[in-house]
Amino acid sequence: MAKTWTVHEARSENLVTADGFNQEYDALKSSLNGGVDRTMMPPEYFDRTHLKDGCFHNVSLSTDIQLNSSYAKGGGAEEFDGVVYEDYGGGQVETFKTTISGLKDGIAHVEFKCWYLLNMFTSGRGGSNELQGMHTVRWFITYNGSKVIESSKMAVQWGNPHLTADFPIFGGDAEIKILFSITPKLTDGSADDDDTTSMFFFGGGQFLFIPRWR
Amino acid sequence: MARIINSSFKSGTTIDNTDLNNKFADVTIATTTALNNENARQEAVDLQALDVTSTTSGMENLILKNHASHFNEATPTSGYADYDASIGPDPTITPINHGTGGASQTTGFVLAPDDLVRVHWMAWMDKIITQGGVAVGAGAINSGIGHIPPHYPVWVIWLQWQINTVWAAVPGQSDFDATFGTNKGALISDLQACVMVPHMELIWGVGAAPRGTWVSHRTLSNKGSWNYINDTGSSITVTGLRLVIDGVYHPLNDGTTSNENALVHENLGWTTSPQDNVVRLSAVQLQWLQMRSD
Repeated sequence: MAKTWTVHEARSENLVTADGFNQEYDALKSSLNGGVDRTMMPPEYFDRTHLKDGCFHNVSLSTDIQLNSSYAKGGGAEEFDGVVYEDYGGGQVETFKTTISGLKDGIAHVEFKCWYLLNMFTSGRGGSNELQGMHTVRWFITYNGSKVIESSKMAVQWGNPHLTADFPIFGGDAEIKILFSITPKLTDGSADDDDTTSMFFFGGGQFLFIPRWR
Repeated sequence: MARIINSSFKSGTTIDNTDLNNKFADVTIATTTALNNENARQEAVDLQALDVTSTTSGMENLILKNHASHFNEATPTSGYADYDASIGPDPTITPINHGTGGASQTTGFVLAPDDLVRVHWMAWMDKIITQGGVAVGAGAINSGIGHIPPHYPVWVIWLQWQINTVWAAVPGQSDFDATFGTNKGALISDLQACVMVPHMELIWGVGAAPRGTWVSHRTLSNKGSWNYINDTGSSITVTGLRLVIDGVYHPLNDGTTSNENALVHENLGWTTSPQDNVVRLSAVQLQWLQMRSD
């Protein structure tokens, strides 16, 4: 819809005064000097050549995410270095952190994918009940301290988790973390998990963050 | 600059037609070249002002630049576990779906510098045939003897692309052609465009010793993905995408490769013929999204 003016136009044979002219002219001038709005823009006109980089969104990609080297032990001829119960007693472990600056209000899309290996040998070994002590791994992603993804417990030996979420964000900086937890050491029965066998490792991780501005 | 800069008439000033025309000429001079951000109000460009009429697929180059997909259900593909008792030749790679006939375009995908590409796939497993497992002795948690399968045997499905008629693993992914002692394989840092398909698992059973039992997985489906930002500074023309499969691999970290984890090809001769260990895929779907990264 074209702009309409609320200022009276000069009629034929009117005496034009400076104030009258200024009032009409300045209304036109102010519209062009920073007042052109969406009602005055031509439709279906702007393509990529008119738009600056980053006007709609941004992308942050982190690659080669794998288990922290500080946790990696117990490897061998047929095993990875990984989490051992000597160092892990349960709970969530932070395994990746990144800070992203220059964000604006909008919606963020996050994706994290990887593959993992979970030692399932003594999984379910809990006395006479095979379901006790099922070995599992679980994943978490936090955004500025708030949890945005919490996976279910995964109970396969080789897994390929793919986690996605979309949530609103405010402008500014953001700190994003990826965490995991695994079943703690079993202590029931004769086939206890030992302290030095590699129980869990993950690799091939990629974290994709696409914020789209409001 | 497209701003109109002039002063207003002062009350009591005598003006003529030239003075008035000059005011309007100021508008013409300022706006003869294209309007710019100095003319527009904040949030002045809304969705209706964007040119989204050039295509019907959403590939307007505003954010999305290209996309393609391919579904291959017609030809189940079987991958066989390689057996070679000699010091590792390169593993035999089996393509799962076709390249130029698959998720590609005749003129190829052109990845401009800083473009983001996102590839997603789903592979449906039809069956896995495994050599019979061997019971393990009591007491040891992870014992393996002789030619029984290694602790964590796994098939790997990974992504390749075709550039200048040559197929190769995509950036961040290996074709398992590095050497680790007597095995061929890859470091973990080179396994970013693949999924792992377990061949068999060794599970502690309930009952009298020996308790270890090998179990195999059938009819699994596997979802994989890969992301890449072209940081080479030059355009890359990709004429094909495909998935490939090979096995059986197993983990390794015996301290001989700078203490880095690796996945290596099994060549200890635990399979006596190609038919002993087979994975067959019934269908594969592959999708490609190409976006601006800003």
